[in-house]
Formats: sequence, structure tokens, C-alpha cells
Amino acid sequence: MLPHWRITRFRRWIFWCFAVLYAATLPIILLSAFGISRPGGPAVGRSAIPIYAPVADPVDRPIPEETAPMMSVLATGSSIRSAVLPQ
Amino acid sequence: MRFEYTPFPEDPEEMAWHRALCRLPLIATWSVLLIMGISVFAFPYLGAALIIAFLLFYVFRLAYYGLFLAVAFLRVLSEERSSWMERLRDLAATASPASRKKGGKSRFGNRIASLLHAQVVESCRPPAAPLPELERLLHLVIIPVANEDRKVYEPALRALAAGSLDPKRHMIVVLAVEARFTARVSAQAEAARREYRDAFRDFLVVSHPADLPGEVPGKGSNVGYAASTMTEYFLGHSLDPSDVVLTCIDADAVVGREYFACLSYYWLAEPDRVRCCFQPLPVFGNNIWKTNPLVRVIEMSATLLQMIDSTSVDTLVSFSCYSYGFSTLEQAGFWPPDVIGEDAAVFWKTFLHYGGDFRAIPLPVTVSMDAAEGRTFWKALGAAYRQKLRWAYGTENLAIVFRGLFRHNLVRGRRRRQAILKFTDNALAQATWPIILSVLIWLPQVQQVLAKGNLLPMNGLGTVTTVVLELSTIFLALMGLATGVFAFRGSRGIPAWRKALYPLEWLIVFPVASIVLGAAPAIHAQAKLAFRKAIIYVPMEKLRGETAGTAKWETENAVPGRT
Repeated sequence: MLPHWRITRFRRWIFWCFAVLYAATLPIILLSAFGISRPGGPAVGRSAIPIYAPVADPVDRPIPEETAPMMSVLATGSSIRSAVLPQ
Repeated sequence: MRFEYTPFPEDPEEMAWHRALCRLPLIATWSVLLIMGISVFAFPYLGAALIIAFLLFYVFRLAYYGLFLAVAFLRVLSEERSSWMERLRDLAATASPASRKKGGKSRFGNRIASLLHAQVVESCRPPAAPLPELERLLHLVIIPVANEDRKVYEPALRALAAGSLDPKRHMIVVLAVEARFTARVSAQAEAARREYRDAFRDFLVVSHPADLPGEVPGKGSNVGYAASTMTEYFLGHSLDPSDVVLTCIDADAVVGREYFACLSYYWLAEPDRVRCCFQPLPVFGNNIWKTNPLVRVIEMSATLLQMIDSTSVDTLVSFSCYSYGFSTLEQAGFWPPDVIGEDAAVFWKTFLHYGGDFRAIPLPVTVSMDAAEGRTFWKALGAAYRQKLRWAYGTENLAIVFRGLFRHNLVRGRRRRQAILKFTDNALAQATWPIILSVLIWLPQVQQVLAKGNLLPMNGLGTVTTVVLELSTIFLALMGLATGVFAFRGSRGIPAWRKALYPLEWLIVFPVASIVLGAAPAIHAQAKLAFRKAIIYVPMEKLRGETAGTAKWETENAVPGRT
């Protein structure tokens, strides 16, 4: 077989390898970028790869047991405030 | 209904198909750009996903290109110094080159070259069909001359006359001049004929009459006319057209001393020589240091793309300087006289004529040509833009070939799919990639600012963008270094600091050049095609001898032994 045919056959093989690799990688990158692949399931509004808002996502941090009730109170208070006060 | 390779089909229904297909590239380009741009603002999730999908595709494409660029470089750099005459003798005797060269230099490149040569010789041994006789082989070289001065094509003639494959025995040169230009051009061509006729087997000047019916002024009609007149010449001289290899080179192209020996070698070795053409590697390096950095990087990127294409006979198409079997072209009807981009047009016409069973075979030798230049920065940029517009107008072939594929079913199977993929990729890549990479990928940031950073789903895009741009930068730097191999060849007298800055030019200038001399002429050509605005073939101005450095180029590039 002439050299250009050998190279062509190699290129055809690599083409399909890359195509399969792309098809396999794209969903992973997309899911990762949208934060869906994290443990804990889908999280709208969060990203696995924060760039524009690089501060740590509060949802990600484990909340100590002793502060959990306080967080709940604060959240409730915030809800009442926003419901009562004129926006 | 019979298919004709023309952009002006007579049948009204065929014309309607053609017009619709002419609009396809422009519609596809704007669809891609608008869908990506609008979706970032209207549907941020979708916009981010599309941009991520493109960026990932781009990374894979860079890796794919990088791999085959390395393969192409390895082949060209290994083989270009080979003695093709010696190889031709090996081929005739089907000697074992690998064993004979064991005592020679053990450089890595030499070993690769010996290995490739051994593969060729092996493929020619029985039971393969016997090779044609080298003694009967004849090279017909057509040099189209529009309004170029003699000093433009003089180096080309000198290089042909200095070829290692005896030009007095094997070569007929035809200067194809345009009658529509001044008498000075014809007079100079005649003077060249008188001076060089003894250097070749024969030397002819063929004048292409102006305004022949059904023709568009350009290189295609000129070369096609010259080739068609040669049919009678071969009959008159009792020469068999199937022994003739036709090579079309630009007036400013300089071939190496071993070029025709290499071409003969592959012509003899290729068992299916009637169904293929031969494509050397064009390097726009004659005057590369006289033009501006924008043009320099774009011209060199054209060489790189051609190198990448040369690693697959599935995707390679004849470009600029190329060779065909004369009888192959004769059967296919030579060049289409009414298509501007003649190099690709003659390939696709022959491709359709043979039902897709036609390929371009890469030759591992270079042909040196002129880059676009001008007396000022802006004139050089304008000349380069017009040249790229003309090249991009080659999209015209898409409409004609798609007509042949979809309406006439001339090609089926794998070659049909490959042709569709090639045209789609060509039409979209040049027109959209620079704009996506320079503008569209930043739109999510604009969207974030406008939406006051509330739409966090696009956050991940930032990381992907950063990684991709870093990889692109590395790839650009590598391209700068790689093309230096060719760019530095004609750089005698160029200060070392300018050469040192050359890879940096790629990093700084290429992003701008890819829009100004890449996407802009591509979209411009698509718009012209869609709205039926023809472009007029204007030969590129050659400033040879008018600026410093020309004499240097002529001596450097016509060095015997360089291929």
C-alpha cells in the first residue's frame, strides 16, 4: 500500500475515535458546567465551575447542627419581612 | 437531463436549484451566528450549552489538526531532501532501497524517507500491474500569464529548465497568454520562447482570444483553452495523451529541481493514476518578509491547512499548482470556462465525471509562490483581501457539486458523504469560527453584566472558555514555530530580531487577521454568491524587482536541489 493511503486510513480511524470521544465528553462537560453531576442532584442556580461568581456557594457548605435552627429562623424572618414590608 | 458543470445552467428548473443552493452557505453562516448570539440572551441555558459544545469541538479539532500537522511535517521534512531521480531508478528496477541505504546516514528523517520509499517499491512489485515506461512519460507544463511582466515568470522558467528530470526529453512548456491584455505581454512571451526553446522538448506560446462565448475571463478559461489546443498538437506529433502529465503552475511559482522527478515517481507508482491528480505543498514564501504581518500569518496558515489536508486523500483538493493526467482531463472536458476558482473547479468537475472515484494524491515537495503584497500597508491588505475573496468565492463550486450530488445522483456512498462534509466544513469554518472565538464566546459575560450576575448557569462556561483560549494560544505559538521552517527559508538578510518576533506575530496578529482576511472575505463571497453578484478576476499585482530583497529571493529559491 502506498504511504498516502496508509496515512489516510490512519486518519479515518482517528477521525472516528475523536468523534466518539467528543460525543462521550460533551454531556459530561455540559452536566458538569451546569452543576448537575454533583452529589445531591440537580441544583439550579449553581455551577460546578464557578468563574463569574467565584465565591463559595453557601449551599455547598455543610451547616453545623448547632447553627441550623438559627439559619431556619433567619430564613423564616426574611420571608416574613419580605411578605410584610412593601417591596 | 445531462449534468453540466456550470454556474449558468440553461434549464430553468436547474437554474432554480442552483440559485437556491447558492444561498445555502450564507444562510448557514448567519444561522449559526444568530442562533448562538441570540440564544445567549433569550435562552441563557441553551446559549451556554451551544458555546460549550462549540468550544469542546474546537479543542478536539485543534488536537486533530495538531496530530496530522505533525504527521505532514514529518513526511515533508523527511522526504523533501530525497533524491527523487535515484528513487525513480529504484522503482524501475524495483530494487530493495531499504537494504541498499543501510550504509547511508542514519538520520531519523532519512530512515523515515527510506521506509516510505520501501513501501512504494514493495507496492509496485508483482502481482501489481507493470509500471509505465519512464522514457515515454511527458510533462506538459502550462503557465497562465495575464498581465504579468516577464520578470515574474522568468524564475519559474529557469527552475523548470534546471530540473533533474531531463527537460529536453520530458518537458513541453506552454505559456498561456491572454490576448485581452497588452501586446507587450505577448511580445515578452515570444522573447522568452526564443530564449528557452532549446532548454525543453518544446516551448509554445498559446494566446487565449478575448470574449469567447460561454467564458468568464480568468485563469480557468485561459488554461482550459491552452490545454484543448494541445490535443491537436499531440495528434500531430504522434504522442499518446495517456503518457502525458499536465501540470498547471502559477506564473510566480517556482518548483524545486527534483519536483518533476517526484511527480513522475508517484505517477508511475500510483496504480490508479487515471483517477487521480497530484498536489504539491504550496508555500507562499517568495516575498513573505516583504509583506505585512497580517498577510504573512494568513498566507502561512493557508500552507498549514494545505498540509493538514495532505494527510488524507479523502479531503485533499487541487489548489493553486497541481498535476493531472492529460487524458483524464480530456475525458472530463478540461477546466470549466465559466468558474472563477479554477483549481477546485477542475477537481470537482473531474470528481463528478468519474462518479466520485477520483482523488488528489499529496506530493511531499513544496512549490514556492508569492504572497499578496503592495507598496503600502493598506494596498497589501487590499490585495490580500481581494485574493481571499476570490478564493472564498470557490464556494460557487458547492452549488454546482450539490446539484450534481442531489439532483443528478452522480456520486453515491462514502465519497458523496465526504464531499458534503468537506463543503459544509469549508463554508462554515472560515466564515464563523473567527467570529465565534473572538466575539460570541464573550457574550455570556455581557449577558451576566446586563442581568446583574443573577444567571449563574453560565458560570461553568467561563472555565471552559479560559481553558480553550489557553490551548488555542499554545496551538498558535506552535503554528508560528512550525511555519518558521518555511518562512525562514527565504529570510536571508532579515534581521534576527524580526525572525525572533515571528512566532509572536501569530499570537498577536492572527486573531485579527483571521477576521479581516478570513471571516470577512468568506462572508462577503457568500453574500455575493447569494445575491448573484459576480466577482471579476483581477490578477494579483506582483512587485517583483520593485522593492529590495527580490534578487535575494530569486537566487535563494531557484537553488538546484531544493524541492
